Amino acid sequence: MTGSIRCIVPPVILEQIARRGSEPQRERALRALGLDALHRSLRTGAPPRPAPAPAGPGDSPQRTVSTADGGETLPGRAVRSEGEPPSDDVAVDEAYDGLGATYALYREVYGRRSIDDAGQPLPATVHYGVDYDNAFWNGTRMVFGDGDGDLFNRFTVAVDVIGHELTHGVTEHEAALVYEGQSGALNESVSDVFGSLVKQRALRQSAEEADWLIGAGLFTARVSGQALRSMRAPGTAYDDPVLGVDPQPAHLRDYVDTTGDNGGVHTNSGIPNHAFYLAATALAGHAWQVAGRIWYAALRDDALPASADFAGFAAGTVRAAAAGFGAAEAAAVGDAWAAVGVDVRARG
Amino acid sequence: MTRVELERSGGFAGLSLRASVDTAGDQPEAAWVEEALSGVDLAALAGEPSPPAPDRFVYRLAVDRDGQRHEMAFGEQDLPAALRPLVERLLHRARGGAPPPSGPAQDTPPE
Repeated sequence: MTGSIRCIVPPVILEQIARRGSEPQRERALRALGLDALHRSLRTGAPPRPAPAPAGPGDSPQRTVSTADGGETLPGRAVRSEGEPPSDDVAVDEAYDGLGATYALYREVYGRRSIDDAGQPLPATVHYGVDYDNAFWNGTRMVFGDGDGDLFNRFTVAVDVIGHELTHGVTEHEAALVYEGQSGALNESVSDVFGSLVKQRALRQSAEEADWLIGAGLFTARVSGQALRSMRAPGTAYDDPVLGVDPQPAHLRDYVDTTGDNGGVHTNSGIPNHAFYLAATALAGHAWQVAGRIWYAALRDDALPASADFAGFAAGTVRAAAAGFGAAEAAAVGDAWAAVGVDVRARG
Repeated sequence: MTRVELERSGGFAGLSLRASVDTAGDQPEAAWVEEALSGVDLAALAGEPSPPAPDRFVYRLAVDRDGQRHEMAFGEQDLPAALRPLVERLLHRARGGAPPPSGPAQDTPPE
C-alpha cells in the first residue's frame, strides 16, 4: 500500500541529491546540510554565554524530550533530559537542539527567561500519533508528529517549526492575540518571524543571506515545493498537484476571507510576514538584532490589544522602533508596512 | 445514500485537505462509510468548534444522509472518537494515498 512509507524518515534530503539534482532539490539539500551543521555545533559547542548574575529561574533551559512511540498519550516516555548526551533517536535530538536554539534566542538576545519569562520548563514529546502531519504547543508542552511520509517528513526536521511553536507560548503570555482573523494572522506571523530568527541566528545568517522560508525540509521528495511559507515571497513556497498552490498574499489588497483555518490565519500571515522581511532587509545585518527587537517590543507593549488588527500592530512596531532605536529605523518599519498595504505613517 | 464531505484546515502547515465520498456513486466505499457512521448521533454533534488553539487542525464535516444535512466543526483536540475512523479514512484519500485494503484506516503501528 502506498501510504505506508512513514516516520523515522532517514536523511531523505541527502538521498534526493544522490537521486536527481533538480534546482529545488539542491536548494533543499543545502538547507539540510546547514541544519545538520547547526545540530552538530549545538551538540559539541560550549554552552551559551554565561548567564548574568544573579542567577535565577530560567537562566538555563530545562528540556525534557519524551517519545509517545506512535501513541497519543502525553507526556510519553522520557528519553533525554537537560544536559544528557544525544540519544540514538534523531527526532529526540532535533527537538532537544531546537528547544535549546529557541531558548537561546529569547534569553541571550531579548533577555527573556523561557516562555513565561519566569523559567518555565520546556518539555517536548516526539513520535506523536500515526501519520501525524503537525506540531503544536499545548500550553505546557511541544508535540511533534512524524509526518505521513507521503507529503510530510517528521516535524522536528525544521528548527523554525520549533521556534514557531514556542513563540505561540510567548505570544499567549504577552499580547495573547486572538487566534482568528487579522489578530490570528498576526499571532501566526509573530511565530513565523521568531521561528525564522531562531534559524537565522543558529546559522549566523544576515537578513540578506537568510532563506526566509518556513518549514524548509518538511515536504517529502514527492511534493513540488521548497517549504510551507516564504516570508520573502509569500505565495511562492509550493505549487503541487496534491497540495495546490501556496495561497499566501503579500499585500493587504489580496487578504483572503475564508471560514477555514480560523479565518485563514496561516494564509493572511503572509502580509505581516512580508512586512517583517522588508523591514529586516531594509535595516540590514542580523535580523534578530534590530528588526527582531522591534517586533518583540511591540508584542510586549501593554497598549497592544488581544484583538489587534494589522494596522494596530504596525503602529506598535513603528512606535517601538522610534523608542528603541530612532527616526530612521521607525521610517524603515513604517515604509515596510506601507509596502504591504498597511500604511500607518500618518499616525505619527 | 450517504454523502460525506470533509475539510481539514489549519495545523502548522495551514494546508487545507478536502475529500468526499458518495455511497451512491462510489459503491465500493458504501460498506466502510456505513460502518463508520453506524451508531453515530450526527444531530447531537452538529455545531461550531470550541475556541481555536494555535496550530491545531480544524475539521469541518458535512454529512447528507436520510434526506438530512448535518454540518459540524471541531478542533482536533475535540474531534469525537466516534468520528475518527471516518475522518482518518477520508484524510488518507485526500492525501492521495491508496485506500487501505479493508477496515478503517488504522494502518500498522510505526517503526
